[in-house]
Amino acid sequence: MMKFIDPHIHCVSRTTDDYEALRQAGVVAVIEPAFWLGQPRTEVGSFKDYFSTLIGWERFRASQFGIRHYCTIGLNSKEANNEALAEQVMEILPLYIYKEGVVGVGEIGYDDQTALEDKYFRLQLELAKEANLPVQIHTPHRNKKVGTSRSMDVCIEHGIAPQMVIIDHNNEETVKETLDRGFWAAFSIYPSTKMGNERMVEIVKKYGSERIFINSAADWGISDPLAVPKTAQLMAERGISEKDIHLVCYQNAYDAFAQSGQMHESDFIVEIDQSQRFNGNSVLRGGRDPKIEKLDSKIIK
Amino acid sequence: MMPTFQTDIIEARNFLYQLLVRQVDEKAKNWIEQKIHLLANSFSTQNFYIAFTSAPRFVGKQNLHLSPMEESEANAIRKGFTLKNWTIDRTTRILFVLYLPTENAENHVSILSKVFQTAEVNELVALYAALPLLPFPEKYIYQCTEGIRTNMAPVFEAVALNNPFPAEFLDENAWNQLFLKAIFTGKKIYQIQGIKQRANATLAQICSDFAHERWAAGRKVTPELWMPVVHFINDTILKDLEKLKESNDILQRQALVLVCLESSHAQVKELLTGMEDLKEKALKGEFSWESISEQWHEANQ
Ligand SMILES: [Zn+2]
Repeated sequence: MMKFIDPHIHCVSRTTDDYEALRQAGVVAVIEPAFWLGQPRTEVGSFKDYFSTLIGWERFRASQFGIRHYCTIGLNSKEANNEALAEQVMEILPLYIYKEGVVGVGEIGYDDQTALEDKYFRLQLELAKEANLPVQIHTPHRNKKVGTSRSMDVCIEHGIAPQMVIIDHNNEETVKETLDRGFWAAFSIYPSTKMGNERMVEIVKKYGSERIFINSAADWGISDPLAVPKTAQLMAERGISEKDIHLVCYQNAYDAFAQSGQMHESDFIVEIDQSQRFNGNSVLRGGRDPKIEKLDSKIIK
Repeated sequence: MMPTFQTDIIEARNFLYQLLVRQVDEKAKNWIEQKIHLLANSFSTQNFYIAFTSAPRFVGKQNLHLSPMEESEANAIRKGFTLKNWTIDRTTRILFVLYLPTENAENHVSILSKVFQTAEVNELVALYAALPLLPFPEKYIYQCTEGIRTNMAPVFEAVALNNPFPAEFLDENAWNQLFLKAIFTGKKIYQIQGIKQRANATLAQICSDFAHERWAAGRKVTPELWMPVVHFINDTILKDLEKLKESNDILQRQALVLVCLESSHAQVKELLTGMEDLKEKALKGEFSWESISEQWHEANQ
């Protein structure tokens, strides 16, 4: 059975059913970028507790399902527009970015491409440079092509090597430039607004598997947490080699974020056996029967 | 009036330091030495925070090994202090905590509270495991109860198990909560320190109520549940104990024998009639609360 990494998923918005489904589909590790919550926060304490949730409770929750949970920490572009709040958030970021399991600064970048977005994007690039962490960049929905080019320009301007930068939410219009300039090109398989499955297959056919990887970007909106394994299956059906699928759905994401020094394949839990203990903790609660599943007995249909 | 210190901090530092240098490589040793030099000579919150957070990436996360002599040394440094299941990174972090300035309680609490608030899972485990070594213990009682309220299993275990702090400092209500939560979440109860000293009539009744609830639902209860009832027998509990005598589970009957031997209650003593073989085995040390607990958890994993 193939194993997968979903390098962009907002687990705090997902249920335990999703975690179970992810694990059954072969997802062994996830990366949760810090983002906004669908409505703006008004206090720095809300950010603090959110970041603490990402490195605490959510990490533990994922581990109960045999999934290794990592995160990237940052001030997202939407909320960068509240300057007074943004200043306070910048002050607490250093408390988090050096933590175990924090594999990057993210997701940061542009939304409306305002002056304030630009200011805090740049400040966070400096932070990432100092901590020697990869950067996970959210590219805008509107005026995407320009916003994506600009994001890369600014990274270069700040002396950040392209291999330390993941440009996320790419599409057919942005992928060529991203790859040509040596950046990682991530694609969010997200219904309607970002990328569809079948389009993704065509992109891999056209551009190959070097420095390309996919994620679900699943969050509180209508999204599909199984986007990575489902797309892998579609790629297999449409004749893409197993090696390329492995690169696009696992290895490239791993190589990009493992540059943080905070992500180790040896920490992944390869087989689920809930009668064993993950991380020293029984996942069994309230008298549920153990669900024991060996990898060779499970095929994704 | 509570004591200011629970241990001689210099002695505790030396002990942890010796344990560490015996097990880490040259590079890690140099890093630890450099950090404790920095903390001892120019302490700043920032220096402390960086050392505490980044420890695992410099010292590794292997298990800490203790000789029997070192185990008794730990107990001499601080009664009840054990380093059971500790890791190198945890030990290093706790060593650094022992370098916090102790001139002023408010300052100590203010620095450490911030660390508690922004901690990830492994950091929380280290912080709670450090409770029995901290100065100004009365200032950390509330934090201890926060640790008991956590939903993260490894964090709860760090507070509740193999830790002398709760039994010595919690009030009766908080203590009872700890015990009951440990029962609920299936912990090995003998690893809770001070059960005999902190047993009370309210807890004995809570345990009996808990057993009735489980029995009514047709479920088993761990024999460890009866540890705190010894000196708080009432009519209900006496009937509960009679029920244990009829159990076809040898562990339940062993538990009953231990309760009977410890109790001075005439009717409880009488329950030993017909259980002479088990009584003899108990007196010879062939079983104990520990062996009952281990076997119960083995069988009911
Ligand atoms: Zn996102």
